[in-house]
Amino acid sequence: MVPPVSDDLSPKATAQQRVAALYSAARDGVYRYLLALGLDAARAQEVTQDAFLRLYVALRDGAAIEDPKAWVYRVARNAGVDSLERIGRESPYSAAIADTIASLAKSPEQELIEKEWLEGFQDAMRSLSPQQRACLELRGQGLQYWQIAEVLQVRTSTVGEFLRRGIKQMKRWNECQK
Amino acid sequence: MPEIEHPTEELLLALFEEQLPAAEVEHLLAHLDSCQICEQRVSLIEPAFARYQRCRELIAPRLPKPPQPWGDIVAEMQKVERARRTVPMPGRKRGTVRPAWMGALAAAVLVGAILFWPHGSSELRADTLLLKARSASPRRSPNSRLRVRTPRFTFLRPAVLSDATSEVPEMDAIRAQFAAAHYDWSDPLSAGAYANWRAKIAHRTVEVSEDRGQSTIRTVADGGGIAEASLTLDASDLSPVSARFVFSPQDWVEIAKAPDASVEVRPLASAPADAPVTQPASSVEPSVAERELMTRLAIDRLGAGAGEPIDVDVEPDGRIVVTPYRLGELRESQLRANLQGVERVTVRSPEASERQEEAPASLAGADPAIDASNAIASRAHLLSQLAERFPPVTEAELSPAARKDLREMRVRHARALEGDIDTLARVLAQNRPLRLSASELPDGDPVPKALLESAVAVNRMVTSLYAEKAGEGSAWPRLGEELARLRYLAHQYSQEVQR
Repeated sequence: MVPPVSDDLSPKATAQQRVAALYSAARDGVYRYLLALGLDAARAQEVTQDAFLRLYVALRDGAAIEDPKAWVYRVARNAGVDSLERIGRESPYSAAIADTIASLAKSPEQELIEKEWLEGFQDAMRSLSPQQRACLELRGQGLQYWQIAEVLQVRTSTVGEFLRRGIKQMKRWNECQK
Repeated sequence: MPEIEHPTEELLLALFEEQLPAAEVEHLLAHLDSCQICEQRVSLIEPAFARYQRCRELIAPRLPKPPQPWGDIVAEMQKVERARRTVPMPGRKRGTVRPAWMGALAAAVLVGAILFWPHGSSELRADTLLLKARSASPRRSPNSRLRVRTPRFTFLRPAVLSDATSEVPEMDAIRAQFAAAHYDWSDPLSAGAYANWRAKIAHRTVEVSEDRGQSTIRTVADGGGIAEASLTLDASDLSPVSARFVFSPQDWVEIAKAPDASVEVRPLASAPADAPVTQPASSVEPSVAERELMTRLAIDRLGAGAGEPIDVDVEPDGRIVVTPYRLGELRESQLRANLQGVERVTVRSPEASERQEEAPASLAGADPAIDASNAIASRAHLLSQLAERFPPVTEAELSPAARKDLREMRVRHARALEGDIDTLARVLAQNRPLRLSASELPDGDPVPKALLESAVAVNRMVTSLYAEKAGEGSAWPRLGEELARLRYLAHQYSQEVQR
């Protein structure tokens, strides 16, 4: 699991330093999260950068942001969802899963097991709601449960429910294969 | 230091196998957030997590890479700083290639321009916004229309009136009112008209506020026909969205952008203000907004409070999809019954085969404080959703009966929210003296978004304090402060919706 981003930013650090530190540590995660939401690479990169600049604007304006990382993910998510509504395209994330499965087709035994896992993963990604997928991806990135709740603007118990269903979906598919 | 109580293996397993009561889930997740030992235990108990992680790793090399090198954030932030003085307008020429940063920069620069002005310089912010809005104002089509609402009637009119435009008699009366106030009635929803009117006001106070991608300039005039005028701009392109003019407490005019007419626009016959805005004769079925409201009312009638995770999604084709996540079979049937009569609504059960597991035996939480703070967060979520889905312009389009229902739902939950907050304060005070005192209370109109943020913050603090049995820590005064802020916001909001 990816370790959570360190929050040991000096209180005296300027907003620019804080944002730059977070940008360096978290931009890849935000970008990947947006891909998982279904954005294409160019838009995901644009939204990611935009979210960090917005964080800077908010901090400079004196906004009290308790957890800048969750804040950036939330802003990116909102912008990303808006884009998806306008674009309405298939996710490159799904394409990456399919490519990976295809690449493992003629591989040794260990990889065949992983291929089965991936097929379960692919199936789960198709059948889960966007929020459930988002929960799994964010948890996979190492965000804490309360941070995920903050990103999705839901209760922590709802995050737990989304995760439970996501995990269950993956397990069910793998059990069907046996 | 209190000894940490780790959850049992059975309980950790149950977290991902069964539907536990919400309060228990909150408790466990709060513990997992702070206990690496138990987090490791979960990985061992539930191998699907490790499998999921492995899948993520496997696909990572095949995910598309960012098409451009990541930008230099420091340089971009400095550009934003410089842009505070010279704000480029958003927009670009057709056919030009836009670097990935440019969209971000344009947006951030604009946000920066709006938000960065020093506090206390509202006049400067208002003048700058109006200046930019005037230079950015797009050419409007002849079919652009405005919806005009007064306490007595509502009608549609062309956005820009020409001499040849015929008017209904009621419009003549309003035009005379605006003329007396030296406000240009021929193009009232424009930055130019607003700026020209402001320039004629000798004594005025102004506020500029930002909310949900919109900036509102509110000018209170000391003398003149218009006592108060607000202009709301879309922050993305600074186009005017709506305006409100108050001549006296009982005499006001609201103007908002309306969908363009597909045919030549003529002012429509006036109707009482309580009636819905005049619609084409063929449009007799409820609007999407009205059906969405009916759907939300049906969910509300379940008496589930706002606590049950039930998604309401409006599809682009106007279909409404309701997804209940934790309703038992009985209550889901009740929901379906409540939804009868609402057209084009689908109840989606993504995992219908799991119904036998639904409906936890008891929703009673592990601690009354956690229960109360959960209830608060849920209600704040609901009020925030209502505000988001039914902003004033949408609300104005609802039928009188629907507007009444919406108001009653808001009032009911706003009052209940105040009660929940009092309950939480009482429960907390039983454990330890709690000083409800906020050093800094928010200015301006309370909004559900601020309420939600505060409610979520309180919920998290309470859950952490109680889940970890660490209520003696320094977090306690912070909780008192946030709870005071929440109580203040809830009271203000409750007053507002009951007005």
